[in-house]
Amino acid sequence: MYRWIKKLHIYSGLLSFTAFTVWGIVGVWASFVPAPADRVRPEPEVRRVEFRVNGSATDQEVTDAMIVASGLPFIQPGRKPNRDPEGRLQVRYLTPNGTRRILLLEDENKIQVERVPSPLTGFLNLMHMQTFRHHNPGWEVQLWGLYNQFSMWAVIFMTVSGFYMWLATRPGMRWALWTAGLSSAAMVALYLMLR
Amino acid sequence: MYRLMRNVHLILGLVFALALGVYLLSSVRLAHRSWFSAKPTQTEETLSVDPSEAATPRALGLHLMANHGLRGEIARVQTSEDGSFSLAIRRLGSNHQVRYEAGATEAQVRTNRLAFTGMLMGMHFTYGFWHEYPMINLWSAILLLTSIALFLMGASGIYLWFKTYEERRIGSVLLAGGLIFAVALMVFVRIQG
Repeated sequence: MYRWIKKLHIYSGLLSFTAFTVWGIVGVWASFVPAPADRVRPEPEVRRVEFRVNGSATDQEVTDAMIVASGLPFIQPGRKPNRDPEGRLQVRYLTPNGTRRILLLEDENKIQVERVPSPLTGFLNLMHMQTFRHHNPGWEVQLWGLYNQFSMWAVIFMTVSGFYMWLATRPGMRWALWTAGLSSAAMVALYLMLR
Repeated sequence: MYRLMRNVHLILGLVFALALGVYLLSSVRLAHRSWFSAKPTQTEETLSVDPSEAATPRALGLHLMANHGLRGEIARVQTSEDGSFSLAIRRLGSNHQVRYEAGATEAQVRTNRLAFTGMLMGMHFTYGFWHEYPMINLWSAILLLTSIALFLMGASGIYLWFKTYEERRIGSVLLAGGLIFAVALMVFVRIQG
Protein backbone atom coordinates (compact mmCIF):
# COMPACT_ATOMS: atom_id res chain seq x y z
CA MET A 1 0.00 0.00 0.00
CA TYR A 2 2.67 2.50 1.09
CA ARG A 3 4.80 1.72 -1.96
CA TRP A 4 1.92 2.41 -4.33
CA ILE A 5 0.83 5.58 -2.58
CA LYS A 6 4.41 6.86 -2.79
CA LYS A 7 4.59 5.97 -6.50
CA LEU A 8 1.35 7.82 -7.22
CA HIS A 9 2.49 10.77 -5.09
CA ILE A 10 5.67 11.07 -7.18
CA TYR A 11 3.87 10.63 -10.50
CA SER A 12 1.18 13.18 -9.59
CA GLY A 13 3.86 15.71 -8.67
CA LEU A 14 5.85 15.20 -11.84
CA LEU A 15 2.81 15.46 -14.10
CA SER A 16 1.37 18.55 -12.42
CA PHE A 17 4.75 20.26 -11.97
CA THR A 18 4.17 22.86 -14.71
CA ALA A 19 0.68 23.73 -13.46
CA PHE A 20 1.65 24.35 -9.86
CA THR A 21 4.71 26.29 -10.98
CA VAL A 22 2.32 28.54 -12.92
CA TRP A 23 0.11 28.86 -9.82
CA GLY A 24 3.16 29.80 -7.75
CA ILE A 25 4.24 32.48 -10.25
CA VAL A 26 0.71 33.90 -10.29
CA GLY A 27 0.59 33.97 -6.48
CA VAL A 28 3.89 35.85 -6.23
CA TRP A 29 2.90 38.27 -9.01
CA ALA A 30 -0.56 38.93 -7.49
CA SER A 31 1.04 39.79 -4.16
CA PHE A 32 2.74 42.82 -5.70
CA VAL A 33 -0.02 44.05 -8.00
CA PRO A 34 -0.85 47.69 -7.13
CA ALA A 35 -4.16 48.60 -5.49
CA PRO A 36 -7.04 48.79 -8.03
CA ALA A 37 -7.03 52.61 -8.04
CA ASP A 38 -3.31 52.73 -8.88
CA ARG A 39 -3.38 50.27 -11.75
CA VAL A 40 -2.56 51.51 -15.23
CA ARG A 41 -5.18 50.31 -17.71
CA PRO A 42 -3.55 49.54 -21.05
CA GLU A 43 -5.12 51.18 -24.10
CA PRO A 44 -6.74 48.74 -26.52
CA GLU A 45 -5.25 48.15 -29.94
CA VAL A 46 -7.97 49.02 -32.45
CA ARG A 47 -8.57 47.98 -36.04
CA ARG A 48 -11.59 48.32 -38.29
CA VAL A 49 -12.96 45.78 -40.72
CA GLU A 50 -15.53 46.26 -43.50
CA PHE A 51 -18.84 44.72 -42.43
CA ARG A 52 -22.23 45.12 -44.03
CA VAL A 53 -25.34 44.26 -42.05
CA ASN A 54 -28.04 42.30 -43.82
CA GLY A 55 -31.22 44.38 -43.44
CA SER A 56 -33.33 41.37 -42.53
CA ALA A 57 -30.90 39.80 -40.06
CA THR A 58 -31.71 39.34 -36.37
CA ASP A 59 -29.34 40.57 -33.65
CA GLN A 60 -28.23 36.97 -33.10
CA GLU A 61 -27.37 36.55 -36.79
CA VAL A 62 -25.49 39.86 -36.85
CA THR A 63 -23.60 38.93 -33.67
CA ASP A 64 -22.58 35.59 -35.18
CA ALA A 65 -21.47 37.30 -38.40
CA MET A 66 -19.45 39.88 -36.42
CA ILE A 67 -17.59 37.08 -34.62
CA VAL A 68 -16.73 35.36 -37.90
CA ALA A 69 -15.71 38.62 -39.61
CA SER A 70 -13.44 39.68 -36.73
CA GLY A 71 -11.24 36.62 -37.21
CA LEU A 72 -10.50 36.62 -33.49
CA PRO A 73 -9.49 33.35 -31.81
CA PHE A 74 -11.05 31.74 -28.72
CA ILE A 75 -14.65 32.56 -29.63
CA GLN A 76 -17.30 30.91 -31.75
CA PRO A 77 -20.71 32.08 -33.01
CA GLY A 78 -23.52 31.51 -30.55
CA ARG A 79 -22.88 34.33 -28.10
CA LYS A 80 -25.97 36.15 -26.86
CA PRO A 81 -26.43 39.58 -28.48
CA ASN A 82 -25.30 42.43 -26.27
CA ARG A 83 -25.32 46.23 -26.67
CA ASP A 84 -23.03 48.94 -25.34
CA PRO A 85 -24.45 51.97 -23.43
CA GLU A 86 -24.93 53.74 -26.77
CA GLY A 87 -27.07 50.89 -28.05
CA ARG A 88 -24.54 49.48 -30.52
CA LEU A 89 -24.20 45.71 -30.85
CA GLN A 90 -21.01 44.43 -29.28
CA VAL A 91 -19.29 41.20 -28.32
CA ARG A 92 -17.04 41.44 -25.26
CA TYR A 93 -15.10 38.48 -23.98
CA LEU A 94 -12.07 37.49 -22.02
CA THR A 95 -9.32 35.31 -23.47
CA PRO A 96 -6.09 34.14 -21.80
CA ASN A 97 -4.45 36.92 -23.83
CA GLY A 98 -6.69 39.69 -22.49
CA THR A 99 -10.08 41.28 -23.14
CA ARG A 100 -11.46 41.50 -26.67
CA ARG A 101 -14.36 43.55 -28.00
CA ILE A 102 -16.04 43.58 -31.39
CA LEU A 103 -18.20 46.67 -31.87
CA LEU A 104 -20.67 47.15 -34.71
CA LEU A 105 -20.46 50.57 -36.42
CA GLU A 106 -23.60 50.08 -38.47
CA ASP A 107 -23.65 53.55 -40.08
CA GLU A 108 -20.08 53.15 -41.32
CA ASN A 109 -20.54 49.54 -42.49
CA LYS A 110 -17.65 48.48 -40.29
CA ILE A 111 -16.85 46.56 -37.15
CA GLN A 112 -14.24 47.80 -34.71
CA VAL A 113 -12.04 45.09 -33.23
CA GLU A 114 -10.46 46.07 -29.90
CA ARG A 115 -7.72 44.04 -28.31
CA VAL A 116 -6.47 44.91 -24.82
CA PRO A 117 -2.94 43.50 -24.60
CA SER A 118 -2.04 41.33 -21.64
CA PRO A 119 1.53 41.02 -20.27
CA LEU A 120 3.01 37.57 -19.69
CA THR A 121 2.09 37.58 -15.99
CA GLY A 122 -1.48 38.59 -16.86
CA PHE A 123 -1.55 35.75 -19.37
CA LEU A 124 -0.38 33.24 -16.74
CA ASN A 125 -2.99 34.59 -14.34
CA LEU A 126 -5.76 34.04 -16.87
CA MET A 127 -4.37 30.60 -17.76
CA HIS A 128 -4.37 29.54 -14.10
CA MET A 129 -8.12 30.25 -14.00
CA GLN A 130 -9.05 28.00 -16.90
CA THR A 131 -11.02 24.84 -16.29
CA PHE A 132 -12.97 22.83 -18.82
CA ARG A 133 -16.32 24.22 -17.70
CA HIS A 134 -15.72 27.48 -19.63
CA HIS A 135 -17.89 28.01 -22.66
CA ASN A 136 -16.29 26.77 -25.88
CA PRO A 137 -13.12 28.90 -25.96
CA GLY A 138 -11.31 26.63 -28.43
CA TRP A 139 -9.65 23.24 -28.14
CA GLU A 140 -6.27 24.59 -26.93
CA VAL A 141 -7.80 26.36 -23.95
CA GLN A 142 -10.08 23.38 -23.26
CA LEU A 143 -7.09 21.07 -23.25
CA TRP A 144 -5.18 23.38 -20.91
CA GLY A 145 -8.29 23.56 -18.72
CA LEU A 146 -8.31 19.77 -18.51
CA TYR A 147 -4.64 19.77 -17.54
CA ASN A 148 -5.25 22.49 -14.97
CA GLN A 149 -8.14 20.53 -13.52
CA PHE A 150 -6.13 17.32 -13.47
CA SER A 151 -3.37 19.18 -11.63
CA MET A 152 -5.85 20.51 -9.07
CA TRP A 153 -6.92 16.96 -8.20
CA ALA A 154 -3.31 15.77 -8.34
CA VAL A 155 -2.24 18.37 -5.75
CA ILE A 156 -5.23 17.46 -3.56
CA PHE A 157 -4.11 13.84 -3.78
CA MET A 158 -0.51 14.81 -2.99
CA THR A 159 -1.63 16.73 0.10
CA VAL A 160 -3.59 13.75 1.44
CA SER A 161 -1.02 11.13 0.43
CA GLY A 162 1.77 13.31 1.86
CA PHE A 163 0.04 13.21 5.25
CA TYR A 164 -0.39 9.47 4.94
CA MET A 165 3.27 8.92 4.07
CA TRP A 166 4.40 11.10 6.98
CA LEU A 167 2.19 9.26 9.48
CA ALA A 168 3.04 5.86 8.02
CA THR A 169 6.81 6.35 8.26
CA ARG A 170 7.53 8.88 11.01
CA PRO A 171 4.49 9.23 13.26
CA GLY A 172 6.52 9.99 16.38
CA MET A 173 8.52 12.86 14.88
CA ARG A 174 7.98 15.51 17.52
CA TRP A 175 8.91 18.66 15.56
CA ALA A 176 6.64 17.58 12.72
CA LEU A 177 3.73 17.07 15.10
CA TRP A 178 4.34 20.50 16.64
CA THR A 179 4.62 22.12 13.20
CA ALA A 180 1.36 20.52 12.07
CA GLY A 181 -0.44 21.51 15.28
CA LEU A 182 0.79 25.10 15.43
CA SER A 183 0.28 25.88 11.75
CA SER A 184 -3.24 24.39 11.85
CA ALA A 185 -4.12 26.41 14.96
CA ALA A 186 -2.75 29.60 13.37
CA MET A 187 -4.75 29.00 10.19
CA VAL A 188 -7.99 28.33 12.07
CA ALA A 189 -7.46 31.49 14.16
CA LEU A 190 -6.84 33.57 11.04
CA TYR A 191 -9.89 32.03 9.36
CA LEU A 192 -12.08 33.03 12.30
CA MET A 193 -10.70 36.56 12.33
CA LEU A 194 -11.34 36.96 8.60
CA ARG A 195 -14.81 35.45 8.89
CA MET B 1 21.37 15.81 1.90
CA TYR B 2 18.52 13.41 1.06
CA ARG B 3 17.35 13.47 4.68
CA LEU B 4 17.51 17.27 4.83
CA MET B 5 15.48 17.59 1.62
CA ARG B 6 12.95 15.08 2.89
CA ASN B 7 12.50 17.11 6.06
CA VAL B 8 12.26 20.38 4.10
CA HIS B 9 9.58 18.81 1.88
CA LEU B 10 7.70 17.56 4.95
CA ILE B 11 7.87 20.79 6.94
CA LEU B 12 6.74 22.91 3.97
CA GLY B 13 3.87 20.51 3.43
CA LEU B 14 2.83 20.65 7.08
CA VAL B 15 3.09 24.43 7.40
CA PHE B 16 1.21 25.22 4.20
CA ALA B 17 -1.20 22.27 3.94
CA LEU B 18 -4.23 24.20 5.20
CA ALA B 19 -3.44 27.33 3.18
CA LEU B 20 -3.01 25.16 0.10
CA GLY B 21 -6.25 23.41 1.06
CA VAL B 22 -8.06 26.77 0.93
CA TYR B 23 -6.90 27.33 -2.65
CA LEU B 24 -7.56 23.76 -3.74
CA LEU B 25 -11.06 23.46 -2.25
CA SER B 26 -12.09 26.84 -3.60
CA SER B 27 -10.77 25.77 -7.02
CA VAL B 28 -13.00 22.69 -6.87
CA ARG B 29 -15.89 25.01 -5.95
CA LEU B 30 -15.07 27.29 -8.90
CA ALA B 31 -14.79 24.41 -11.35
CA HIS B 32 -17.89 22.56 -10.10
CA ARG B 33 -20.34 25.16 -8.82
CA SER B 34 -23.28 22.77 -8.94
CA TRP B 35 -21.68 20.49 -6.35
CA PHE B 36 -21.99 23.11 -3.62
CA SER B 37 -24.72 25.22 -2.16
CA ALA B 38 -23.15 28.35 -0.74
CA LYS B 39 -25.97 30.72 0.17
CA PRO B 40 -24.90 33.61 2.40
CA THR B 41 -26.92 34.42 5.53
CA GLN B 42 -28.30 37.90 5.97
CA THR B 43 -29.16 39.78 9.17
CA GLU B 44 -30.30 43.35 9.79
CA GLU B 45 -29.91 45.54 12.87
CA THR B 46 -30.23 49.16 13.90
CA LEU B 47 -27.36 50.72 15.83
CA SER B 48 -27.68 53.94 17.79
CA VAL B 49 -25.15 56.64 16.92
CA ASP B 50 -24.55 60.22 17.98
CA PRO B 51 -24.86 62.43 14.85
CA SER B 52 -21.57 64.08 15.82
CA GLU B 53 -19.91 60.68 15.30
CA ALA B 54 -21.32 60.48 11.80
CA ALA B 55 -20.03 63.71 10.28
CA THR B 56 -18.51 61.73 7.40
CA PRO B 57 -18.94 58.13 6.19
CA ARG B 58 -15.44 57.35 7.34
CA ALA B 59 -16.03 58.80 10.80
CA LEU B 60 -19.17 56.69 11.16
CA GLY B 61 -17.33 53.58 9.95
CA LEU B 62 -14.55 54.06 12.48
CA HIS B 63 -17.12 54.75 15.22
CA LEU B 64 -19.03 51.54 14.45
CA MET B 65 -15.81 49.55 14.50
CA ALA B 66 -14.67 51.08 17.79
CA ASN B 67 -18.01 50.94 19.65
CA HIS B 68 -20.23 48.31 18.04
CA GLY B 69 -17.82 45.48 17.30
CA LEU B 70 -17.92 45.70 13.52
CA ARG B 71 -14.62 44.62 11.97
CA GLY B 72 -13.13 45.05 8.52
CA GLU B 73 -12.11 47.69 6.01
CA ILE B 74 -14.23 50.63 4.87
CA ALA B 75 -15.22 50.35 1.23
CA ARG B 76 -17.88 51.36 -1.31
CA VAL B 77 -18.66 54.77 0.17
CA GLN B 78 -21.60 56.52 -1.52
CA THR B 79 -22.87 59.95 -0.57
CA SER B 80 -25.98 61.79 -1.74
CA GLU B 81 -26.76 65.49 -1.88
CA ASP B 82 -29.12 65.45 1.14
CA GLY B 83 -26.20 64.35 3.35
CA SER B 84 -27.22 60.72 3.72
CA PHE B 85 -24.65 58.10 2.83
CA SER B 86 -23.85 54.42 2.74
CA LEU B 87 -20.66 52.49 3.20
CA ALA B 88 -19.49 48.92 3.54
CA ILE B 89 -17.34 47.53 6.32
CA ARG B 90 -16.06 44.27 4.98
CA ARG B 91 -13.69 41.48 5.64
CA LEU B 92 -13.39 38.28 3.64
CA GLY B 93 -16.37 36.40 5.07
CA SER B 94 -18.68 39.24 6.13
CA ASN B 95 -19.93 42.42 4.60
CA HIS B 96 -21.72 45.04 6.74
CA GLN B 97 -23.69 47.40 4.53
CA VAL B 98 -24.30 50.60 6.55
CA ARG B 99 -26.93 53.24 5.66
CA TYR B 100 -27.18 56.53 7.47
CA GLU B 101 -29.63 59.45 7.03
CA ALA B 102 -28.21 62.91 7.78
CA GLY B 103 -28.77 63.93 11.42
CA ALA B 104 -30.27 60.57 12.44
CA THR B 105 -29.47 58.93 15.77
CA GLU B 106 -29.29 55.46 14.34
CA ALA B 107 -27.66 53.61 11.44
CA GLN B 108 -29.11 50.63 9.56
CA VAL B 109 -26.67 47.75 9.21
CA ARG B 110 -27.32 44.79 6.94
CA THR B 111 -24.79 41.99 7.38
CA ASN B 112 -24.11 39.31 4.75
CA ARG B 113 -22.15 36.34 5.99
CA LEU B 114 -20.67 33.91 3.46
CA ALA B 115 -21.04 30.15 3.82
CA PHE B 116 -17.88 28.05 4.25
CA THR B 117 -17.13 27.53 0.55
CA GLY B 118 -18.04 31.14 -0.22
CA MET B 119 -15.54 32.20 2.42
CA LEU B 120 -12.87 29.98 0.84
CA MET B 121 -13.53 31.63 -2.50
CA GLY B 122 -13.19 35.05 -0.88
CA MET B 123 -9.82 33.95 0.47
CA HIS B 124 -8.79 32.64 -2.96
CA PHE B 125 -9.51 36.00 -4.60
CA THR B 126 -7.75 38.12 -1.98
CA TYR B 127 -4.27 39.42 -2.67
CA GLY B 128 -2.08 42.50 -2.25
CA PHE B 129 -0.92 44.48 0.73
CA TRP B 130 -2.97 47.65 0.31
CA HIS B 131 -5.92 46.64 2.49
CA GLU B 132 -6.85 48.69 5.55
CA TYR B 133 -7.83 45.66 7.63
CA PRO B 134 -4.52 44.15 8.81
CA MET B 135 -5.85 40.57 8.86
CA ILE B 136 -6.49 40.75 5.12
CA ASN B 137 -2.89 41.87 4.57
CA LEU B 138 -1.80 38.96 6.75
CA TRP B 139 -3.76 36.57 4.56
CA SER B 140 -2.11 38.17 1.49
CA ALA B 141 1.27 37.47 3.09
CA ILE B 142 0.23 33.83 3.46
CA LEU B 143 -0.65 33.77 -0.25
CA LEU B 144 2.87 35.01 -1.03
CA LEU B 145 4.51 32.49 1.30
CA THR B 146 2.33 29.63 0.02
CA SER B 147 3.29 30.51 -3.57
CA ILE B 148 6.99 30.49 -2.68
CA ALA B 149 6.43 27.21 -0.79
CA LEU B 150 4.99 25.71 -3.99
CA PHE B 151 8.31 26.36 -5.76
CA LEU B 152 10.30 24.95 -2.87
CA MET B 153 8.09 21.87 -2.52
CA GLY B 154 8.36 21.33 -6.28
CA ALA B 155 12.14 21.68 -6.22
CA SER B 156 12.63 19.45 -3.17
CA GLY B 157 10.13 16.95 -4.62
CA ILE B 158 12.12 16.78 -7.86
CA TYR B 159 15.30 16.16 -5.86
CA LEU B 160 13.66 13.40 -3.80
CA TRP B 161 12.27 11.75 -6.93
CA PHE B 162 15.66 11.91 -8.67
CA LYS B 163 17.25 10.18 -5.72
CA THR B 164 14.64 7.41 -5.87
CA TYR B 165 16.53 5.41 -8.46
CA GLU B 166 13.84 2.90 -9.37
CA GLU B 167 11.47 5.73 -10.37
CA ARG B 168 13.88 7.63 -12.58
CA ARG B 169 12.87 6.14 -15.91
CA ILE B 170 9.09 6.44 -15.60
CA GLY B 171 9.45 9.73 -13.74
CA SER B 172 11.60 11.26 -16.48
CA VAL B 173 8.99 10.37 -19.07
CA LEU B 174 6.17 11.85 -16.95
CA LEU B 175 8.08 15.03 -16.09
CA ALA B 176 9.26 15.65 -19.66
CA GLY B 177 5.87 14.70 -21.09
CA GLY B 178 4.01 17.02 -18.70
CA LEU B 179 6.43 19.88 -19.32
CA ILE B 180 6.38 19.60 -23.10
CA PHE B 181 2.61 19.20 -23.21
CA ALA B 182 1.86 22.12 -20.89
CA VAL B 183 4.49 24.55 -22.18
CA ALA B 184 3.58 23.80 -25.81
CA LEU B 185 -0.09 24.44 -25.05
CA MET B 186 0.72 27.73 -23.32
CA VAL B 187 2.91 28.88 -26.21
CA PHE B 188 0.21 27.86 -28.69
CA VAL B 189 -2.46 29.83 -26.81
CA ARG B 190 -0.16 32.82 -26.34
CA ILE B 191 0.92 33.20 -29.97
CA GLN B 192 -2.67 33.27 -31.23
CA GLY B 193 -3.10 36.72 -29.73
